[in-house]
Amino acid sequence: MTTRTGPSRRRVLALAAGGLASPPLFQAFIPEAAAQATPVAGGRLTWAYVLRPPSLDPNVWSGGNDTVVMRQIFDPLIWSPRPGEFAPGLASAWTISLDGRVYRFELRRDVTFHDGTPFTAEAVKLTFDRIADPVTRSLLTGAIGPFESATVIDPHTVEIRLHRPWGTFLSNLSSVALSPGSPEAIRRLGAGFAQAPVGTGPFMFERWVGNDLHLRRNPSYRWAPQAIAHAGPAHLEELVIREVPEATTRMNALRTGEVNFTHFPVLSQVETLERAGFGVARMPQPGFSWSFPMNITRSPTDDVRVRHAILHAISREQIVRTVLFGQMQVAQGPLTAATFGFDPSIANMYPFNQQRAAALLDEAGWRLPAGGRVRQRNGAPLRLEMIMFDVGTNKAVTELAQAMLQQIGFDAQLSVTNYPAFAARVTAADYNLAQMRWSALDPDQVIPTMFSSGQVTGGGQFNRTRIANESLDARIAEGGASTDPALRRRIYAEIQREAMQQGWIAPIYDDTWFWLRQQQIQGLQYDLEGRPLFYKAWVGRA
Amino acid sequence: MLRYTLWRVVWVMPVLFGVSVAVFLMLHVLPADPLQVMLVQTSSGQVPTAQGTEQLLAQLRSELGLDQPLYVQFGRFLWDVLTGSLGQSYRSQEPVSRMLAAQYPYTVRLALSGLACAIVLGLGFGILAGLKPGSWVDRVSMLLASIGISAPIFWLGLMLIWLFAVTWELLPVLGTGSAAALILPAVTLGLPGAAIIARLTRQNLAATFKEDFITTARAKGLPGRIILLKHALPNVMLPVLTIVGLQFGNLMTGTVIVETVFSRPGIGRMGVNAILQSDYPVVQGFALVIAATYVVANLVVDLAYTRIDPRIRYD
Repeated sequence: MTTRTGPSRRRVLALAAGGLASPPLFQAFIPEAAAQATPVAGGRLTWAYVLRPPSLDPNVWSGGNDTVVMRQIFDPLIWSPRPGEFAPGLASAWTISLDGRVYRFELRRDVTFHDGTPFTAEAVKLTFDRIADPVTRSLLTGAIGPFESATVIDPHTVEIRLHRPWGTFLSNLSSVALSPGSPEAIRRLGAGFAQAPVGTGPFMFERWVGNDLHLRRNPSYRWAPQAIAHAGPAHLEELVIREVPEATTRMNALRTGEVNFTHFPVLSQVETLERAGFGVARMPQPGFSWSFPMNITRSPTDDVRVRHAILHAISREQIVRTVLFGQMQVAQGPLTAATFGFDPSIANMYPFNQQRAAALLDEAGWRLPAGGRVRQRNGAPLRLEMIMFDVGTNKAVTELAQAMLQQIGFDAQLSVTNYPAFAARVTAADYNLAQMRWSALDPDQVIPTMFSSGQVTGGGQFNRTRIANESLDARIAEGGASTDPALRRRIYAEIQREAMQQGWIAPIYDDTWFWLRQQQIQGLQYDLEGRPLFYKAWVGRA
Repeated sequence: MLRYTLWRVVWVMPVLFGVSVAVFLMLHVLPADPLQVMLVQTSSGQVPTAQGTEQLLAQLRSELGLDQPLYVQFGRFLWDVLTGSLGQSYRSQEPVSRMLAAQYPYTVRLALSGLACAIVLGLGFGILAGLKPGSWVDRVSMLLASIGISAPIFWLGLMLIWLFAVTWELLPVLGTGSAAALILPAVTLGLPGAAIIARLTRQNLAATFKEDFITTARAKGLPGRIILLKHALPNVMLPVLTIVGLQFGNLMTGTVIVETVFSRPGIGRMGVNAILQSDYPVVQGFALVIAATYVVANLVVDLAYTRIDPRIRYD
């Protein structure tokens, strides 16, 4: 076994990650003025939250927003302050066996759960065993990957054994999903743990009032990671998460001061609010960009020239400007610019160019009949089946793209359904253009699913290009197994380049999350996925 | 009267059974797989491999009993209804009965306040207008009523928030937390009903004032107040009461929108979310409770007829 303690490993990976165009973590986004002010203890932060979390059990449920709430209640074993870089959390040090299959964690000895239960190796073992147990109905079996077993070595040492080496294990460990909950509370509450969670984090569950969640600061908290640069309990006395499903109402409640923090804004109002003095933090999401994967097994998108024509025919800039009010960034490839391993050299491979698109279609034999608007080849019209499910701005984005494709002679048909109907058509490969977006810290959490053949044959819903290629599968597997950042970066760069050269997807925009606050809320920090940490936040004078 | 009431209460049972069967079948006809919805809801973090996804789906399916034949699933659902637990939510794994019990009071409070607003505003404007048909009071009232009937409720809600909460800062934007917070949601919910009641009251009142017995009362020298309260209004109230009964159903459905716009808890919104997420047990429980409420409200209205109009008797 090689011994790599947290800090030294961190240094090594920090060098490897140098020059990365990702947002630094734990950066207080509030500038000078706030940084000079002294934090005030006490006070309440009220957050207008989009939808009551159905569950707050991090080992079972992973709704994208809800993990933000769980993040305040639970601590991970290790933190990831920068992509590919790891720092001690509840685990003070760890070693990885030479074959990459056995991880041994030394745990902190001074940690207790909110209910007073001491944090021990038993709790870590329970976390893994619970996710693996079908009775738990956990949706996070992906997060433990090739997990084999967890063994308690002594009360403060635990060993996790994997079936095979797995490069993103540490990255997954730093997510909320594998954060331990109190074994005592889990035993006592059963499924009710999801409504009254007990973790080790800086905020404790207090109660539900209607659909509003009340959290209180954990007075005995003193195990924050070094990168956060604060010791002891949180500044805020209370964190109230009020359910406000309607976006306009969230904006109005922020305006009147009934809440002092919110998310998922009305995009057209973001600039106005910013000008009116409200703080706006824009957090580009790591993961898979919002894009149209193209089905390469079905005519006409089985022809690479048609796919290139589609890429040239869609003006991403116009979509971002009109539908998204210029609030998101244009996407360049499968990975968003904020993701580890994003390759900037693929930028602008397909600038908006209708003449070029038309020429490509002509070349592929799809010609405009005299006086017609739909191209034909041997009498058959150039039909394009677009499928989507209606959430957020999906529909507006897709409809605009549809209009752009019709302009150069596609008979583009759009089918708008709910997700299950959409998934059924994906599984049946009955479409030309689908849609995809996924938030994830590491390319290995998306690339294998979006481009590996296993997802096509296994009835998967995520490989929407339907590409099934052995050499690509091998490279994806190599990237997934490796713990060498430089090698992984090279492999993912190759895959990104190939995806764009082959026109497997038409990327549209990089998703961004917005966090809006009143001016007097200060000291907010954001984790690697751009989700807020309220640990150091405080309420200043208005 | 007592027999009639008992008979009506007994009838509630087959109605609820019918509703259960209908909702159960509708849910299973929909092309929605609750588990696939659950999977994509996460849309972040580690994606399971295809094989992993299949395993996970199969596991969940058998844990939730979704791999059983329909009649077995329906039998299980009936058993859950009879034992009062109504099953467990697929997503939160909470007992549905507990979820409904937590949300129902909010909806009832909102619906009753909305109804009160509808009756007070509707009768008030209706009487004012009906007393002097053709006057400017009448015209303004009826114009307002037309707006109230035609404006969509979510738009009304947003406009009221914008005026009273954001511009004048008189009332809160969010619909919970204080007594004042209930005012805007209740008015929003009550306005369409108020408009209908106002028009009906005005129409009936104006017509009643032309009747002979009113002329007689006037000839006897009775004061206008007595003529209105003792002679005219009781005749106007009967059709109004019918409308109020019908309106209560509309109010229960209207709460879904008002709960969303004003961020209030409530079973309406819980039900809609459950439908979108194909959380079958929650949808079934929600439908049962709404149906039961509707039936009970109708019963109350029917019994109230006998109080207002002695000519009506149920034997």
